[in-house]
Amino acid sequence: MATSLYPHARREGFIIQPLDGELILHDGEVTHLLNVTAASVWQLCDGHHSLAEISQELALPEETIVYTLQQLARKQLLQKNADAVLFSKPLTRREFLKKGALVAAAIPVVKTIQLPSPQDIPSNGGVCTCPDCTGVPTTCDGMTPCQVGTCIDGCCQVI
Amino acid sequence: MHTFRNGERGQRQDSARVANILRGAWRSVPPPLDFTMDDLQLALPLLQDASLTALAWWRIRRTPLAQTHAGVILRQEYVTQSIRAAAASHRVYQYVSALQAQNIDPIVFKGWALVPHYAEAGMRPAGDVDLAVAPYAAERAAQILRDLGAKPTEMDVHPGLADAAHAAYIPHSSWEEIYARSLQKSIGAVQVRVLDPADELQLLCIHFLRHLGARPIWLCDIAAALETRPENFDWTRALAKPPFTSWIECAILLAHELLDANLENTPLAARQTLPTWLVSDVLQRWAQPRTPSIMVHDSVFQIWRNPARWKEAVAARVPNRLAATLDFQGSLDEPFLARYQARWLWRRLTAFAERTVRRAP
Repeated sequence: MATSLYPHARREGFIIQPLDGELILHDGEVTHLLNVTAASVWQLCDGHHSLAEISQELALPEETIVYTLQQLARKQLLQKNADAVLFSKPLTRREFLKKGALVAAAIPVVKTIQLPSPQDIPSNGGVCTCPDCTGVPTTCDGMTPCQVGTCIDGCCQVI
Repeated sequence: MHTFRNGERGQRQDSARVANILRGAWRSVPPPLDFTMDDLQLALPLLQDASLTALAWWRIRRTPLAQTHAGVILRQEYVTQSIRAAAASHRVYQYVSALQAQNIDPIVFKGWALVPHYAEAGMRPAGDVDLAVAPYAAERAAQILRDLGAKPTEMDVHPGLADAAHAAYIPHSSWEEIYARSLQKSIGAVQVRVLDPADELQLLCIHFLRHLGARPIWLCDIAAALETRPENFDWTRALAKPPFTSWIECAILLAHELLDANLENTPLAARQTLPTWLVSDVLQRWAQPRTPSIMVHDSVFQIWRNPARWKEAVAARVPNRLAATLDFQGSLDEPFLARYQARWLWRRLTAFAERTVRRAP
């Protein structure tokens, strides 16, 4: 494998959010969850670090870095320029696990996740604007009961 | 379906547990644990119900509690919530870009805008995106976002922030003044306009109390914003003028009392004016399950023929002390707040009498 490879992560259009050492990449449609190994490699893919340097910096075997880069490239998380070199001899997961004497924690994982619906999220509640309000704007969204009256159509109605 | 413990005392104990679990949870390094696995287990339904699981996870993540069944649940919900937060960031980016393209420069506030005060973006539940725009542009802004496909559950456009009819408002300031003080900030990959820190803390405190302290996360927001305030924080403006000064002080002291917010180097460090009833009142509210009881809200006419229910009906209609004081813009450090409850009751009785007379043939 070409150790002179300088992989470059694709960052444009992504919301990049840390997750206690892991990383979430979200582009509005697809969410990728990178575990600690995959996140560390991806963050060093700045076009300035060679494959060998990444391996050295993270104290991981080059096979692990290559396998991680292949996974990232498959999910289109790297710039295309590295593809030809990376996939000249692709590693299967089985081959990778056979080759590397790795602890489980260092196995790179890139998961692609279905986004939960925003409707599942409790809203911060709206302000009661109906004429029959109780006076104090109160959330009336089923989460907070009305101080007075009954919650009807988002308003605390006094009967 | 969660089960909640019966009895006011039991409920208050559960919400006190929630408060204890949340103590300092917004910090990068939360304080050492001072609760047990049983406490966590008992508080879990309330934590889930109030979307506080990510914060609870952050508090326990480096402790043996992380390996428990409750810990596993909290970790899963922390990941889910973090993904939602990333999606919320994307939505904010879309909304702000669309509005700016139409020459509307919104201020993003509450909710998502408070993310920088927390150790990680996913720790704060992401709900709708609150955007304040110039009052004259509010209708147009809402239409632009609707055209973009934003659902009502995903965005809330506020016509300025100076309207006292809204829970989220900044007293004694016009929209132009609030906008002039606002700051451009980069949150994650998104460039947005946010409130000046003093305006933000003021708004968070007033909003929390106007909603009667209903959600623990709002008090966490106050604590986190307080602790991450800049060095040049303008306390004179943040504490506003009476009666709002007492509201803001009470909200901050509540955050200190319940969540251990750090009051060092604040004007409130030496002050202990928090009314004890307020702590109990807020804890009671935190313990209430989502579904309100509809039994107590039957109409007077329905209850009239059933004297056994008169006491219950009256109790349900006596206004809350906090609600009544805020409604009449009273100061929370005044004695005899019951007079505001009496005024509220009188107002309701006269309104009821007027309605009844109007309905009479």
